[in-house]
Amino acid sequence: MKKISLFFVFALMFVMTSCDKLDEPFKKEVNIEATGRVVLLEDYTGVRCVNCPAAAEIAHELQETFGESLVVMGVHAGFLSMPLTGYPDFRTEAGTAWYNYFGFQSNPIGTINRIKGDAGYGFNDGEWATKVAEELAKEQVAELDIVCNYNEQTRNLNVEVNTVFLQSQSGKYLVTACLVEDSVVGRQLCPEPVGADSTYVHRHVFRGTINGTWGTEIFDGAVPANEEISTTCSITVDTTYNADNCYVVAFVYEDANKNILQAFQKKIK
Amino acid sequence: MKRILLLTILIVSAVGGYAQSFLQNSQVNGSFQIDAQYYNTDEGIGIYDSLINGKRLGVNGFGKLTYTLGDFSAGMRFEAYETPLSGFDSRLEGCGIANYWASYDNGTIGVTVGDIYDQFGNGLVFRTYEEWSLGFDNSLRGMRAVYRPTQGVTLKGVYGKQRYYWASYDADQSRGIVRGIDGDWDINQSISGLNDSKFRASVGASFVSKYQKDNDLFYYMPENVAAYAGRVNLSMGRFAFSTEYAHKINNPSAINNMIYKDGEALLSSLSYAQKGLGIVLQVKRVDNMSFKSDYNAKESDLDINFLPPINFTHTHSLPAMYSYSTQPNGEMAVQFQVNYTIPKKTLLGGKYGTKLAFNYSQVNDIVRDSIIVNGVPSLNQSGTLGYTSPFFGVSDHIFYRDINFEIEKRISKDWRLVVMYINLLYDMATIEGHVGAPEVRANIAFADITYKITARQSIRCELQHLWDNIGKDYVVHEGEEKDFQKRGNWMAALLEYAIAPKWFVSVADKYNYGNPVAEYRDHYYTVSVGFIKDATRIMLTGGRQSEGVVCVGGVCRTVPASSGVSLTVTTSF
Repeated sequence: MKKISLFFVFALMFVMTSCDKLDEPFKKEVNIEATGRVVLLEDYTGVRCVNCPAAAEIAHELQETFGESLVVMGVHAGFLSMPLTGYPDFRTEAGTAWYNYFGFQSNPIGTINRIKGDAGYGFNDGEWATKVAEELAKEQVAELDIVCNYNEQTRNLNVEVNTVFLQSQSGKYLVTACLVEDSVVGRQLCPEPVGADSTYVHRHVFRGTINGTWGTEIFDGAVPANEEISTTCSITVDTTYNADNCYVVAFVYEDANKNILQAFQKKIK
Repeated sequence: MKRILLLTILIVSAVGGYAQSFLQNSQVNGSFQIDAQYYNTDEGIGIYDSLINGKRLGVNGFGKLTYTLGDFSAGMRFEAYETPLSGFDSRLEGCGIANYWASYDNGTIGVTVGDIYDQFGNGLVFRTYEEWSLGFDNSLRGMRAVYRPTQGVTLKGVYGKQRYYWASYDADQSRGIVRGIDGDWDINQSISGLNDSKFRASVGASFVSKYQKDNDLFYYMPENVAAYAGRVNLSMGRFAFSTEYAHKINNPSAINNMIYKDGEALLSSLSYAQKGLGIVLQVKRVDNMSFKSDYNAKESDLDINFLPPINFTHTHSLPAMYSYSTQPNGEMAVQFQVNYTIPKKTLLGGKYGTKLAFNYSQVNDIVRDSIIVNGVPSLNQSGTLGYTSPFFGVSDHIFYRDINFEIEKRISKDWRLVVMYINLLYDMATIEGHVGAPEVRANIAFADITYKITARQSIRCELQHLWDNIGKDYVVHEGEEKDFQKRGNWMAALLEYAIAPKWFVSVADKYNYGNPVAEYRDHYYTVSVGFIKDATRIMLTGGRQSEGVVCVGGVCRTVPASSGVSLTVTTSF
């Protein structure tokens, strides 16, 4: 009987210390200090993915919260991005290659600076805020700058990406430049009662890479700090894209683990 | 020198004798399974190279070994998914020892270290289990202690971190730690005067808490989320009653849209059984009862608890296409089942008797009322208490309803017949997430006939038909075709020839002839050959598999359409 009583005393202590009942307010005041680091959030989405609009909303809210410290790309890839009649086709060769490389199977799912979490590169939309904040809290190791030269007549876009490492680095590093178009109107499957919404505004639509799926190697070996490394590339902007809403997103990453060190975005005009 | 030699001989004999006795008392059991599938492109059912994406071969396999010596046992389980079969989560890809454990239990005290599978009561607050067919495993890596201080009393404690595919169990991993205690008291076993009583009673209580650090940027997260439950099991003669109520404190999560409302669940069952007659009535209420060790987890990842379904489990292919998946955010369910056997040598019972079964189950949504947030009515808004819900309130929104009637009749020494009629209502939009998809109202009938040719040879034939409320003429709007992939009428047939106890061969076809989308009116044919020897079973199947949902215990996995050849090998010793 003594042993049973002991168990109940222990159980009571356990119960009393294992509940956190919270009172309102439940929302925190968010204060973010800019550190110079810019994080890339890739929202892998699909036009027939009913949960994707909510994820896109989270991405958009995060961008409003973090301002220029966060770059968002909506990458349409995977089964739910395959358009049926009436849906826009936002799929890209690079987006599909990335989706497959990261082992994704469904949408929505996101990468944050392409770091690996508990279960690979993908994070649920509920985890994005925390992961973005974690990445932003890290020390800035590189600076990026983009110079865009867009010819409105030929729609030719020349891009120069300049990378400066703030500390000496060793390893293989690449820079990828992407074309992104914001605010594209096209059908999207939304939760009830909306359903298929032909007036849906797709934010930050990834239109493709400018310098290949995995970008351009900027060095392999050791590189000293504060030395500018430039890489150039060009593309003809599709006539169906609204150039006023287009911008270039560039990011530098380490080839061995695909982790992005710094991202940057700039409007093409 | 002679003494040393003598001593050596004595030691060797003692160790040898001990080793021999050790080996004689030891027992090793094992089981193995390999599921492999080669995927073909099949444009007829929309399987293109781009969909296969180079992954032509999927292989899932496991090997489990258990060693037992008296009160001690230990085991391990190796798993390999290279690459996972189509429909299994890609995060399973890889191989390695997924589980290992060691346990000592002398009847009074038991201790297990390693990966733990256990359940408190019905599992409403805690259940860890593994389901191979779903690729599901939420085992707890940690410790379990069991103490039985007296006859009929079992006290239990567990703690650890749950398996999450192949993610490590390191402290820096974001998922939480699960701790739980449970007590169970079998009153009849404890009180000698009640040992043989017709009245049986047991009670139990559980408390489970999850600890996860608050790293959220936008919300204050409860770092310790607790859930507790109480249960009672009573029986008197032919009647039995059991009930369990569970409550969970504020647990905002990706599943409940980050609301801070408490959750609750109730499961009750009343049954009556006598020779030839069985009646069961079950009711269930679930309100905001998803409980995971990571508040960001979705689908069935990292479930701490289990919400048992109370629906009939269909095994035939057409009704199984529309299996119900438990809705942890809220459901009110009822099930009523009657089994009756018409006695032998009566007009309706005939020479062998006739078995009748009737089942009715229905699941509705719960009622949710708005709350006032900043002076404005709000329903299920993130960062609030979400909503209020009357305990007995049942929404008009039906998720699922199944009314079925089965007759099983042995017609003669060689003929056996099973016929069943099923009336099904299935809210596809809720259960499968196809928003806007019209609900399924189907009538299904099948006949399952077995003819024994000789003592060892038999032939079995299944004939099924599904009448859908959506016919060929239904107008499918542009862009919504995907929601109709398995809609419309179906017919299915299967012919199986078995040479007991080793061989069987079967051919089957399912034909979605009434699909409103012409390109989905496909045949799904398969040919299977199976060989069984002792505990080894080998099955080779070729053909097409339609898109569907595999559900076990209310937990479901979507299976995409595929075409190819599959091989399953299982063995145990």
